Amino acid sequence: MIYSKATIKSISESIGIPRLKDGITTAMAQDVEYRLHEIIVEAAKFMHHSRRTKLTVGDINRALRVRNVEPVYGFESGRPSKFHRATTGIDDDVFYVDDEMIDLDAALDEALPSVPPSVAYTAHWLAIEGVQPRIQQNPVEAEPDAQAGAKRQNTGNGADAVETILEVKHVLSKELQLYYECITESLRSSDSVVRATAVSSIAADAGIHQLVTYFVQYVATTVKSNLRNVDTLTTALAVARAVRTNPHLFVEPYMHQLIPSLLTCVVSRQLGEPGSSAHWALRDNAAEQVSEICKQFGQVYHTLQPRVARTLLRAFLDPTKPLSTHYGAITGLTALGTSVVRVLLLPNMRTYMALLDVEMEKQEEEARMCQNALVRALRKLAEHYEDEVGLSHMQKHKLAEVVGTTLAGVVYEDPQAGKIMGAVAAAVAETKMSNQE
Amino acid sequence: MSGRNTDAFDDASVAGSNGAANGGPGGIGNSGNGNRRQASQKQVEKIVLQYLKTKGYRNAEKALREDAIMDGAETTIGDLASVFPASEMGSDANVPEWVLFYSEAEQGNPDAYSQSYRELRRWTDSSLDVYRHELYAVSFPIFVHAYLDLHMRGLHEKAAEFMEQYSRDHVVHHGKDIETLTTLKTKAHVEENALAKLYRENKYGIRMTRVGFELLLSFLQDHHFTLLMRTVNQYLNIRTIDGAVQIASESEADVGITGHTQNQLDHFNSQDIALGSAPLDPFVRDEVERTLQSEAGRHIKDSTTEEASALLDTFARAKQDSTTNALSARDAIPMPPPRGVEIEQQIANLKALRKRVALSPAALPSVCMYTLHNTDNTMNCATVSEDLSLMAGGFSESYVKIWSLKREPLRGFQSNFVPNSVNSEEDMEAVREKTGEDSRKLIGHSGPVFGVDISFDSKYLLSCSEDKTARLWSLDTMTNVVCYRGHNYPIWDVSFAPQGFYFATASHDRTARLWSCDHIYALRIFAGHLSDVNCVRFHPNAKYVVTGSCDKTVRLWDVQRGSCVRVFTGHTGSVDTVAISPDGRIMASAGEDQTVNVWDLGSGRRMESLTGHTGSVYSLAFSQEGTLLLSGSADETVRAWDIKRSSTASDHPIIAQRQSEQDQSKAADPDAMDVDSDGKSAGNNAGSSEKDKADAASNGDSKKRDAAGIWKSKRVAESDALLKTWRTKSTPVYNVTMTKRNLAIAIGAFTL
Repeated sequence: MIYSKATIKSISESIGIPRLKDGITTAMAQDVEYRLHEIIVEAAKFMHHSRRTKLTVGDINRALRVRNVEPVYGFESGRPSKFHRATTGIDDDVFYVDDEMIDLDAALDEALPSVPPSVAYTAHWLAIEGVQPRIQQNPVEAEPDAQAGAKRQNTGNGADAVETILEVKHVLSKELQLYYECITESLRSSDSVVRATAVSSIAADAGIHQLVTYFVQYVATTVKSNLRNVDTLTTALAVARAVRTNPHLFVEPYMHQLIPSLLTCVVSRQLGEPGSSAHWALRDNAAEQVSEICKQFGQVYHTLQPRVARTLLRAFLDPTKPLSTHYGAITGLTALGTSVVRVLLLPNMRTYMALLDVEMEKQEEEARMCQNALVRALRKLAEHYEDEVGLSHMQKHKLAEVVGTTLAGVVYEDPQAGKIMGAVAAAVAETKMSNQE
Repeated sequence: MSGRNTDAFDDASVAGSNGAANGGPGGIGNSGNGNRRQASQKQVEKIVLQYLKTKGYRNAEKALREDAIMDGAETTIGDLASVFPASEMGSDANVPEWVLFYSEAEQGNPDAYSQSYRELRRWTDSSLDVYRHELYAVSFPIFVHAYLDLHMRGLHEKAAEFMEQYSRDHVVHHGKDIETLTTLKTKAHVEENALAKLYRENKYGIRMTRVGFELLLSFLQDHHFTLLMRTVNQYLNIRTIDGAVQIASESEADVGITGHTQNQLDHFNSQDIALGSAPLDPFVRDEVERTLQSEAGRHIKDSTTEEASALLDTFARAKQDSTTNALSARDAIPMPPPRGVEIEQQIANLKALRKRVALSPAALPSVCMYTLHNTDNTMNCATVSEDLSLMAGGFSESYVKIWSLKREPLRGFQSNFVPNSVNSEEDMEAVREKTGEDSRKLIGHSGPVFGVDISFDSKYLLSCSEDKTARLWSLDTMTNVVCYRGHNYPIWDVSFAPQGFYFATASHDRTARLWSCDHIYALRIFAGHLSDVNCVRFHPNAKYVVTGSCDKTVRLWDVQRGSCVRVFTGHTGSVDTVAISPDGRIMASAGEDQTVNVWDLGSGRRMESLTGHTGSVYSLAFSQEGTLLLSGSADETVRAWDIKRSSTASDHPIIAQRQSEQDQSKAADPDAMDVDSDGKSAGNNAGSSEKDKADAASNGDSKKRDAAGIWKSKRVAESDALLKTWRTKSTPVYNVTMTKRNLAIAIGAFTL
């Protein structure tokens, strides 16, 4: 029974009926319980049609109104009621809603609460051709958990070795499986012709859409486990490029998996055997690919380029990172375009050159590569700049103010020195302008 | 079912209610009128005698007995009363007499119900697997009526005890009903409770095999369980199926209360229905053809002319298709003369048809999800227009909000405009508001808005509310145009006909109504559901509407005649949403029981029962080909189901489907075991959990609810037909729609 006789009795006393007979209280208690249930069943219908799973006071009131009963006023609130327990000592505990005392004067004096935000909508793809894209709006796939859970279960009662069925069935035809095996085998081969053929096959084949995710995965794992092997990395990059350039494939959903691998190839501390110089080209290649991706998908994913640039800039500005990383970061930023060079590289060049000057004595080759990369960045800046400036010591001095003396010297020797100086001067002016604004 | 309908108890109940007027007691011949009267005289004597005996009036009894013998009857009443030949009980005609006279022995014993029900359960548990499901199914109404009988006789404590002891046998399938019945405390409650009344006043339909039925009868007779026998007679409508069919699950045997006997249901479901597409108005057809031809015939060849000629091709094909398939103009419902919008609509449809993505289980659709934020649980429903230009939502705070999905300003008319001064397009533009936001509130209702629908041309919006009205809003002027009154209780759902003009509402008052936009009163009232009508949808040819109800049935109504033409039974909870395939042959329904049932409209049979959802299903949508079904649910998922494959099954789709399901689940489904152990932990005794296991192994439905009767089981066996589940980020999916190009739209409100 929800209501004890004592409750009924105390309620009756509170409304001025002092002594109720025992039989009456029992009957009352039963009836009240039944009526309550009726109302709740009715209210649940309103809850259900409001697409909610929590019953509210509003639902109860609507149910009462449907039954032609006066609703209970004063309990409706946007927030769920909090019940507090009070121990009476005699009977069971009593629960009550904690009503806060509000001082009307104070409440009236208070500033009006802000208007709640109005209902708004956002749109996103829950699925693209049946595949759920891994974007922020979609929940993280719980599959690994489920699998882990299933495995644990398996080990728990190994006797009946239940075969777990994966939530998503991915049917890959036998042909495709063979094709994938053949391709990966060829990619591992030592013959460069075989490798090139495999890559060109990926780049041109129309029927391998289902394998995209596997190739992306292949690139990721290869990069992760072969940081010391420049040849393998080059092949992996070639595969990445092939997948991207194949006009029949739809790679957009997989870009977020591809970019980290590429960035690794750009800014990794150590690529290839120590001492070898093959990794510079690899970094250039990877940087170029990143910039291509940014160009291709920048329109759709506005945050893509800024995120990549931020990662690279962080690598560039961190003096604890080795010079090889700095080189990659510079190259990567350069590849992202003139405006990135102007906004992110140029203001930091002078400080960086100071650091580089020190390093120049210790590790000449690396430092020189970095310096060359910076010069390339400046050339990039001057690429679309038309007006040339006459070479003079005045100009050289001006340039040194921006990029440091050493670099200014190098640039001065450059055949395009005039253009670069003009471009730098213009860029500095523009930056100043925008700063003032 | 191919079986012969014997409907023994239908006849039996008639006989019982007429006393014994039309059937003599077992041993007495009853040919001829005089004899019959004599026989009925004897009946009366017997009843009196029985009464005297139980009351202990021995002298009076003796006197009567002597009197009877003096009358010179062939058989002494005493003999009759003491030994009734059990062998003769086989014939149905004898049942009522037997029930009439021998119940008295049990009448005085308050434990009789409990004892006999326990015996019945024990016997059922030990019966052959083949018959067990139907016997379980039949034991539920017996259980309910035994409980109600106990209350009616004032044995309230016994009733509560009885409920407590045996309710766990049934919570799996009938949790909601049990919950309600448990709260009954007094005779008065039983007399006025809606559910109890439903059980008392209607017959409970059960489907059984002939052998199963005979087994049950002979069991009840052999043990002289007259109380149960009487219940079976009075409150059950048992339908036997002949032939080598098997009932493989409890829900298959359980027809439930429909307000009709199964004979009537059969009659309903065998009525002819015309499911062809609506015929195209000849004027519209010619006009479309002419427009396309003129566009194709232009001298300058460019992409539009090519497209137009391609469209012309498609149109010719579509036309041919529809002529073979369409209703005759006589069958179709009358429509107002075309206004020009129809022509544009037709052309747009053709274009969409050409751009349609072919979907199949291997090629799933793209789903665009619209998530609403800051709703604070106040949004009740949502929909999008067919051309995806508008989205509308109904709110608890009595307003409808519309958004332009193209982010264009929504401009209504200025409040001071004079309709007479508007003569041209330019004038229209002039009286429009100069500025507007891309969302707008439509204010007018005085209660929560439970349903919204946008017309096919995106010019009108309908909303329905707790305030008992439905309102028509013009999306040109952004104002309320008509307020439709007629329902006496909150309206749950509203739906436009596919070609506009007509619409239907579903209400708490247990009716659905058909309206036309130009009349303020309902044209048809569809009455017949035994509880709230939750949802209503039009058949694509607008000749029928489908309604889903709290009474666990789905019904198909003929719009012209206003009568029910199909009743679909099989859900175990209220039905909240229905959808009909674009070709008009298949219907899907789903609701609180988390199961999606797919029905063949023509035969009225269930094709498939799809399980997998772990929350109420809010919305369903077929792909344009009708091969895929999408469902949106409270469990924050959108799921895609494969539909066509069971239609290849034999002429007994249900049986074939069931058997295949059974086979699969026999391969030790881990989920089944899980749910089973849940059941045990909730306090099932060994016997009933064994029964659960049997159920769970053969039937996905039974896994839906846990022992407490609340739908919260975490792991549900997923049907094979489930192709894909897309989860959302804590966003229950209120609506799923398929556009004409097979793009899926899902709408949900983000809830914390």
